[in-house]
Amino acid sequence: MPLEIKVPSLGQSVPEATVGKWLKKEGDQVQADEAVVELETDKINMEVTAFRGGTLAEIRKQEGATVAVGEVLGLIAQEGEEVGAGEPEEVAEEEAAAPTKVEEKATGEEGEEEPAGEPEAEPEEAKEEAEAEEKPARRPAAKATRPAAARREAVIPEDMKTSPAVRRLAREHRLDLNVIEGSGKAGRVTREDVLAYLEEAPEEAVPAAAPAEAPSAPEPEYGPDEPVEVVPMTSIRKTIAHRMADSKRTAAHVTTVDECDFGALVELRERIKEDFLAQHGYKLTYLPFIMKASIAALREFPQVNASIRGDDIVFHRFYHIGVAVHTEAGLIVPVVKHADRKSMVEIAGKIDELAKKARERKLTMEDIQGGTFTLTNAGGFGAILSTPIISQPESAVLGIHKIVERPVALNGQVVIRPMMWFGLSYDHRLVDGTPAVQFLRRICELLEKPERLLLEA
Amino acid sequence: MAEITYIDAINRVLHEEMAKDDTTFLIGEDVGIYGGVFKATRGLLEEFGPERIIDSPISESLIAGMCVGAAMVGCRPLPEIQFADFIHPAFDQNVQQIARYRWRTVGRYDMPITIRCPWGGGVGGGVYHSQSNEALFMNVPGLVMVAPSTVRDAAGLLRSAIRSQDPVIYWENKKLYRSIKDELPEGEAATTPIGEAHVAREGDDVTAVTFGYMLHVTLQAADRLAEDDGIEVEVIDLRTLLPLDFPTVLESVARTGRAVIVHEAPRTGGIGGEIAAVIADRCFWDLDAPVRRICGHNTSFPAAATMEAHYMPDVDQVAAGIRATATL
Repeated sequence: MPLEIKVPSLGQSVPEATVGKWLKKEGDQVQADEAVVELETDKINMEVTAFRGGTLAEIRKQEGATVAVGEVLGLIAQEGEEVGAGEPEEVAEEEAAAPTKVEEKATGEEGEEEPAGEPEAEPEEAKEEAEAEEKPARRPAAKATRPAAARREAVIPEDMKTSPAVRRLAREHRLDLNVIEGSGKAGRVTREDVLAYLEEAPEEAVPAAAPAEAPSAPEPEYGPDEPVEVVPMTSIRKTIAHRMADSKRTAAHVTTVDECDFGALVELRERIKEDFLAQHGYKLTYLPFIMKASIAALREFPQVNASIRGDDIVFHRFYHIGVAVHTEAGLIVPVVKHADRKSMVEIAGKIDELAKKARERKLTMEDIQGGTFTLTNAGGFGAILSTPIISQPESAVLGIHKIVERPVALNGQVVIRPMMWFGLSYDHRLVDGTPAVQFLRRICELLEKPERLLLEA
Repeated sequence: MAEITYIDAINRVLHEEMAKDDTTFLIGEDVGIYGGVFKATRGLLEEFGPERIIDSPISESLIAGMCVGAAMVGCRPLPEIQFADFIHPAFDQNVQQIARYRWRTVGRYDMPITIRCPWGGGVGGGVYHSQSNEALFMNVPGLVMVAPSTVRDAAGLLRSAIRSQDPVIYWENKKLYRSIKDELPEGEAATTPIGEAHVAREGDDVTAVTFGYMLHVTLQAADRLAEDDGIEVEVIDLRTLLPLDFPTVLESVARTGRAVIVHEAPRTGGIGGEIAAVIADRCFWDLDAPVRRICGHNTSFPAAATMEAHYMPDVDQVAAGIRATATL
């Protein structure tokens, strides 16, 4: 059976990608582990490699096509293998033979391949088309797929008993099953009910569209002197939109603010930054200090470095610290893995490297996954206070701001000190107010006496 | 063209294929002078002589074991196990040798052996002459199993089995031996490929997967459901049991969204379980109802006629089961 080249996992925040350049033509020889095609997302570019050598028998998704995770990009055949051939003696394992003909249909993919924005597409038609095809390999390449978005928008009540086929239809057409009258046993909504509903009310086939995300306000009408420009969201913008709104819906956000006297740290940094730059070739910023102080505090308050999973709490006994980076394309959060095992110099180097890669859009999936806690710096652009949104499934995010010289009272005297307000947003489902405040205070204490970082971080 | 019975079709193909290939020989209990207990091999001794039509002692392990050696020296053996129920003494030869030899010898020795086994109930045979033991061999890679349900496939699959380089267990259904008749095209026209199921009746509401005598029961149930309930059943005759033709089954179930499997063998560990598992795996998002099995009971085969009638799925049971799945 020919090997399917599938879109690999692009990470939890990236449901789709764009097919880039094919590095091989149909009929070209391919070695095992050789790159075959490029995939582009707004976050990263990656190459898809062949697990097995052979001949690139078929390209199913041309350059520019939008593809979802798991979709088949093309087929690699070995010598003597015919694409789509189903000779039972050759493919004696029925497991292997079965999906060649039916898998797309059986898993309902032909439905999901319909762009989510085109509810009028007829699933039955697509199915008949697939059935008529003897060899699935010859199926015309379908358009963009957005299974995740479709799923998010359908309404399938948890307490409603429906068959898998009905659920699939509901997802494909983003239906609210509550509005369909069931004719089955005990009033169950059957496949026939859904198909009948679709036939009668194709216009209303999308009533459930994104209840949580779409603005509930009616579409505004613009006058002739109110020019507007409508552009489709880039996929990174859509991802950010979904993830931010998701997090706001999911987590019980609370932001606590504390102020930190950066006097000692500013003095320390001023003293060593020139030497540091000369020695390492990149700048020493405050971020490595803040990251080290955060890790020391996370050790003390492990619930801040934890996630909720169902009814469980997952305590992370490792420290992968995300650093939000602004790029022209949008926000991206590369992760410093095992930051606790790295020296201050290594952290500074890693942050510099990740930021550079982010700007050049060369981050890999590995670079942006697996964070347990996040730092986001709004101060570079001047903010003195913000209430950041938690990056799911983490439980807190530390907002870093501008260091501002302020008059503060110190030992009965008003003095001018370089002060910073930290804003810690935490998920109150997991982290109570007192430990959250203590956690933030702990970070401030360590930064106010940076020599303690030597001992404690 | 005259209609002939299922057992006549088998007898005819044995004559034709043995005449074509003089490396073939037949061995089994009472297959020669007596012409087989069911008369499947009648006339063969007269035509091919005692060197090629061998009456064996009552020893299935000997029959199968001899065939292994004969296959190794270039013969194409056609052993008959008098009743499928008696194949167990030859289990080791079938599983460890016949099924494995090509693998073990890295392709040096094929085992082109066709093991004919009369199987199935409904003939008043009691516990040792009624079994459906195909499931015992489902878990044996290297074997092929066919189970014809019609006169044409009895001939067609036997021809393909004899010519195959793979070892094939050919399950011939006793209940069908003389209960069905059909015209049989001459020679090569009566060839059925191994590995292909047959859609015996088309329908859009529910898929029924079956084989052997149960095909005929299921077809009758399907006719009744169409008439009484307006339910159109697609009936698939598996024909080959190993490897199963999943593309045909899955294509149908993906379309109907409902599946029922009918077989005589006991439910537990029967091949219906395997089919149900693959349907659940591959067709999950197309299913409108759980996959149903209509099978024999988890007991030994009963001897009393009343119990036998209850043990074997009948038209009433099959129709009721399919109706329940179709209307869930």
